[in-house]
Amino acid sequence: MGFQVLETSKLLNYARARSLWIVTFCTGCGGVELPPTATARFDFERFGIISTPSIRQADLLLITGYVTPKTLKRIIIVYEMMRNPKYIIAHGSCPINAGIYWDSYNTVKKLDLYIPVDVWIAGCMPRPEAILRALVKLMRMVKEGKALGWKRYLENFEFYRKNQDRLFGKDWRKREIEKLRFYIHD
Amino acid sequence: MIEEELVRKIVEVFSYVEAKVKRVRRVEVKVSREKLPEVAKYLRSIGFKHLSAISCVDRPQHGIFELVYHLWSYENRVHLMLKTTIPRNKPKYVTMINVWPNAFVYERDIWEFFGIEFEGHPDLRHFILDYWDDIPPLRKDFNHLEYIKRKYGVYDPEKEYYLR
Amino acid sequence: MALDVIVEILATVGMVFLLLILGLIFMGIARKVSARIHRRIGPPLYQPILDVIKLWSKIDPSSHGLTFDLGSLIALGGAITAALLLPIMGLKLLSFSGDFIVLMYLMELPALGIMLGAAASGNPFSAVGVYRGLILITGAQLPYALAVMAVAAEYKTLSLTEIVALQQGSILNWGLFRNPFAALVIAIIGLALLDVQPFDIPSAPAEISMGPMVEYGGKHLALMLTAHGLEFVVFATMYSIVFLGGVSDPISFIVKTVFVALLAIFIMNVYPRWRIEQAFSYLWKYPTALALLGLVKAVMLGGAM
Repeated sequence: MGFQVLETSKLLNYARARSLWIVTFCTGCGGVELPPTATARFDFERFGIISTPSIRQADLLLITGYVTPKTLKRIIIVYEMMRNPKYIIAHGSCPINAGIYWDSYNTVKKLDLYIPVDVWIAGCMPRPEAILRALVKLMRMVKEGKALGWKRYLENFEFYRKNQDRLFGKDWRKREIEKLRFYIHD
Repeated sequence: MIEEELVRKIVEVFSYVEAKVKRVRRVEVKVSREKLPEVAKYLRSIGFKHLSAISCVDRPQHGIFELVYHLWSYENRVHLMLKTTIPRNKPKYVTMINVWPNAFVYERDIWEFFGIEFEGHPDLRHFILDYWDDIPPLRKDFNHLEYIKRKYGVYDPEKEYYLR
Repeated sequence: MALDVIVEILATVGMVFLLLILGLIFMGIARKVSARIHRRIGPPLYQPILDVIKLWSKIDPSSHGLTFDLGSLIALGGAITAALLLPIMGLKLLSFSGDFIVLMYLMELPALGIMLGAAASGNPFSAVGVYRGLILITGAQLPYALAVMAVAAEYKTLSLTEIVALQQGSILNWGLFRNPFAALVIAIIGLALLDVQPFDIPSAPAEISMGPMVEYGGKHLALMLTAHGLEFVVFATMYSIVFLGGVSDPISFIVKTVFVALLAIFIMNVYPRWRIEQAFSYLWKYPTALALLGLVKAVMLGGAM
């Protein structure tokens, strides 16, 4: 995977910070906190944040709750389909250290081993205020050019790839493609 | 009472079943594993059209799995628990898809979490646990902690990181 | 002579640039007004401009071949050509004697361009979206053509400049009062052409995740957003020219186009999305009947009040 140079200037960084588009993809129980964040009371559209159903158009991936290995595969596929620069916010204590599922056989314990996370929100569940605060913090980081999770993923791809392979087995990408073969046209 | 009538009716037809009224609207029917399919077909014909769930209980001290078919009758408004036991090593049972088609999902689920093979089931694949590489997780002898340490690593407070 | 040409080129480029910015501002107005209807604060008016800058600055564009790239360019090109046909504020850039009918077909070019590119992307959602979009266009064609014929019979011309000239004098000379049936029909068809609710079945975000646009992102999507905004402005301007007495000075241009856009935004926020066959049967029932009525009125009364 080659390295890509990102053009940065004040205007571009400002535009990136003020127009973060979210993938409509929810895991676990945190998805229920997003409608209040989007609707009249907290209204994240005033920061230019909207949710888009298409992965190709989105900049921001919200991990809203516990992550099972099966979901993690989808998360990795979605994250790699998004276009650079891209950011991740992880909600709640489950992505940090599996929270109340610390002894579950089917919950990923530390999400940062598999994909790079830019901003963490603590709490179970974080309230919309906490989510808004994380979004504003991410906006500040993007404006200053500090949200570099996507770059970390490219530079340490071997590390992330090794961890993913250890969890799912060596050829999990091929097997996932085989499952989707029916839907692929060309 | 409708429950007692039902019990009498079932015992009249099948002398070998053990049926009793648990409480209002709850009937329990115990039957051996060879006879369960014909009892199930009969129950389906007298109105127990709805299979709510199939639950499985692991009893390692007795060496058995207990299968419970939860049935509901819309006409009589009675919840009937059809119980049977199967041996614990190399567990195998017949599928109930030809009686209640929605048993497809529940049997796949039980196969995934308890490892019971259902003969005649067309599609025994993993629902949730893709690429599972251990004994089924809801069996009592499954070692959670050992599995988690092997799979996800251990938290090391000195380095504040998960070790492999 | 040379000076004239240079001035004309500068005016054209300036007009296109102004209309592109105006289109994005119109989308900002749409988002802000929708937010106020939902009792939210909403984004600033310049939000779509920031979106376009951001989309333009994304790296690693993934393309699905030449047709995929051309789709977005055709969309923007069609919208710009349509914009140049309009006589706005006394400028007549590409006007000629039959420009109304050319404009009518150029207004469908953005949707067709997007569908051409989407069909090349190979995504199943795109395929479903293209299929829905073509059905919608088929449904919209009949009443649209009938309404355009009614307008032409009303004014006995197909030139937008002459249509504006015929509406001068009294407010009762406006096309809205001379042939209200055609005005109503073209307002309804406009919603279908602009892909807004209740006619947003091609790009239903909750069902088929943006439909034809699902594989588009980055620079392609920036072009498409610009084309969509421009299409919005072109439709509002066309409606003001044909039915609201023309846009001869900046104030009437802004007031009339924003009025038309606001009507579309209010309708968009009130009505939910129709199913495919509901939209199709609606389009071939009431707008078609109204357009026929307008045609009969224009032919029988001979364009007189």
